[in-house]
Amino acid sequence: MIAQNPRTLADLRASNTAKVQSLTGDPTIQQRLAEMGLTSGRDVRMVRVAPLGDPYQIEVLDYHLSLRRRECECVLLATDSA
Amino acid sequence: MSSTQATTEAIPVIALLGNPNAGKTSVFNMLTGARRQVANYPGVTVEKTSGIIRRQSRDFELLDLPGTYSLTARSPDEFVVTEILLGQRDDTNPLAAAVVVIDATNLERNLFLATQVLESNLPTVIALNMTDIAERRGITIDSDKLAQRLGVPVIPIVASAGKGRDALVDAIEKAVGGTKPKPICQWPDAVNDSVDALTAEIARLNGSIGPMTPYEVRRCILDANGEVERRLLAHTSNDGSLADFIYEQRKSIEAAGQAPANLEAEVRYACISRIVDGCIERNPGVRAPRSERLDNLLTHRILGTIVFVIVMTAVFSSVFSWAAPLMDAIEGVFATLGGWVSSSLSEGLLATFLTDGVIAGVGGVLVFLPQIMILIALITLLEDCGYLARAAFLMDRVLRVFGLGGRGFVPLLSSFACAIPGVMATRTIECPKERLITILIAPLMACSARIPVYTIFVAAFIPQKTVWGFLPLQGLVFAGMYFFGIIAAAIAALVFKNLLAGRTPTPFILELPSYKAPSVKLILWRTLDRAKAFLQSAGTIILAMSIIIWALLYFPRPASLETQVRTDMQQAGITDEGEIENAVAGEYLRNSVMGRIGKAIEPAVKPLGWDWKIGMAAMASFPAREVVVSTLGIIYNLGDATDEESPALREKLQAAKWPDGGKVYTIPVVLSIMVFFALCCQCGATVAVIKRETNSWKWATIAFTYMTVLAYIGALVVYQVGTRIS
Repeated sequence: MIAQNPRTLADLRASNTAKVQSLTGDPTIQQRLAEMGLTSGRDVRMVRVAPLGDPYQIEVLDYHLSLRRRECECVLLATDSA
Repeated sequence: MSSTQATTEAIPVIALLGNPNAGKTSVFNMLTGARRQVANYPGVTVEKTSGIIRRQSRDFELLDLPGTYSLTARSPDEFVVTEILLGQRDDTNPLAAAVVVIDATNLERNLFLATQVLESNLPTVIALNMTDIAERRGITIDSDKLAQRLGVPVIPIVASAGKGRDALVDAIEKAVGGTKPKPICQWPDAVNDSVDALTAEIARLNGSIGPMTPYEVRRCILDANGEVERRLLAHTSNDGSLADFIYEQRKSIEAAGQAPANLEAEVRYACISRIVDGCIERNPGVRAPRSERLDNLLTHRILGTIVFVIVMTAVFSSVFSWAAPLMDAIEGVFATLGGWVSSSLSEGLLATFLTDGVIAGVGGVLVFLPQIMILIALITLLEDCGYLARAAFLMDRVLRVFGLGGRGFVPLLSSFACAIPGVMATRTIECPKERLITILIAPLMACSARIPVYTIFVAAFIPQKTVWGFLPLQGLVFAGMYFFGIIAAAIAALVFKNLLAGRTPTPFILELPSYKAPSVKLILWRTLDRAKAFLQSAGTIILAMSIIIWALLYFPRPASLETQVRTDMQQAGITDEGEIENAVAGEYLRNSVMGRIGKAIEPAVKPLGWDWKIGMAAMASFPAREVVVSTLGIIYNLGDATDEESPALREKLQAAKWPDGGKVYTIPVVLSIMVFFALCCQCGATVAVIKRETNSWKWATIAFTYMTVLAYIGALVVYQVGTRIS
């Protein structure tokens, strides 16, 4: 657990769902992501990745959102949902 | 504002707020009858859009605030909303109430903004929009229960169909002067303590900012690098101790167990879940939304890209093919008008002023109206049904290479019709650097004003051959000029990306709204609105510029010059009156102010392969590049009833010779002219709109200068290399 990198939203495979554990990284980005509904305990689903590998299409709070890989890496996922 | 008590009958101002994609524009149109007044807030690039809600008893002013997901102010532009809500702007009357538009299909996220507005202490009405779409998706919302829990009226509406207008207006009327809502989210003690501590500290330091409301103090603590904090620090003279104090407060909140950056969202969303619990019912029998299945195709790795290319090709080909007959019709009308004026007025100053200056100048610009309207209509259609967000999603990775982002896609697409709506559309780009790069390169896209320029030179000088047996060479050169503009824009973007301060990429957090049937009302309204704006600029700036150019090409005209030419022609044995008149007109032109300038700048344009006539036509085209066609017409003694299809002008160009007998328009010269027009910032209206959108002459000057220098160098290289190859 200690040496392991935390799993982020960027690691979630397409059409899989997980729970948000917490946010990390730049405070401004954290605040923006949280405002869009990515708060702890929330279900988030990876819908698909754009044709060129970035950005990502995700689903949260019953709507779809596009985030780049950098932003997805700010979303740490709860590990028990694996 | 207190001193203006005499005007007690001033109409109450109601603010309209809502998330992007919540249908705020439709609500605005429904309430005000789509009549709006647009102005700018000084100091920022936010547009002040307002309209009037008419009631039998009294009128209300509806102030449309920019669509936003949150009231967090990260820039001066975003801070305008906070200032207006708190009644702190001198140019806006204090608000009487607020209306928050909420998308019923996405209740929880939309309530985030609503709960923030409820804390601003204004009587509030919630407009629960798109209830029809929610119903179709099996979502039922108990609006009465929701209203009870929020403590403000919640009115279900379908704004695109005009449903629920009366109930909404009644609620607004009741809210004005009514009770203020109570905040519904409880803040943790650590936050309340920090707010108290910072309030006391601000009072102690006694800076020039004056007392702040608890709302602002809380924003100051919660928004790291936010606008409220920036202003507070700027107005409080101190040694950085206040910045440290704020930092300490954030630390203490964090120590209490919550990161300040996402504390607000955690608190609000927890509060929102409690509110909506039992107010919202989902029918599990309704199948997964159609939207998701459409996205399986439209954002698919391979199919999505294919559809994207097809859609964009369809947009462009319809813009050109649908507009062609309309453009012909407009040209016809202006030609008739010009003919009518010149035949009904006796020949003289007034007649030439009206036909050559006013009608030819404004008409030359108005022909682009159909193209602009068709493109705006198609873009609005794609935007309203939800596809443009997907296009931005698909293009983001490509645009990022050039320091741009997915949000730059729509402005650049619009710039193919006209850079003016393109530059205006950059408002949706939140990153200042990304927005600036997009504004600076948008005028390089081949706008419709370049079409007449390309048309005349391609038709006159590119042979009607085919390449590889089936590709028409003329068409290839035409398409090549479009790609040339795109490549030049890409290179310019790369340079600006490295030159400008600031960092990219910034967050790209873009909602992909559910697909829906586009609203015909909205498309018509937006198209007519933009058409009106275009006509206004044609009626003012372009009209003024046309008159100036005409005057510079017309004066001075001493009668002695005509006598001189006639004498010379008679001595040469030429008696044809038409020929003599053409020669007289040509001599007047060479003698005019512009003619002399053209002669003076000839040494500068010679390295581009140009003679003084081309140089002069290029000079005359700085207010609007399409002017070159009519200017060349005048210059080649044809009078300016010439349009780009005129075979006579084409033949004159083909026959034009240097004094030594060599042809003026060789292929390198023609390419050099086209490259110049592709790159040069020959559009007064674009310069003006860049000035307005960036709020400074600095960027307008930079855009003008870099494009003009680039155009000169580009034309120089093309000509010099071209002559050496051929």
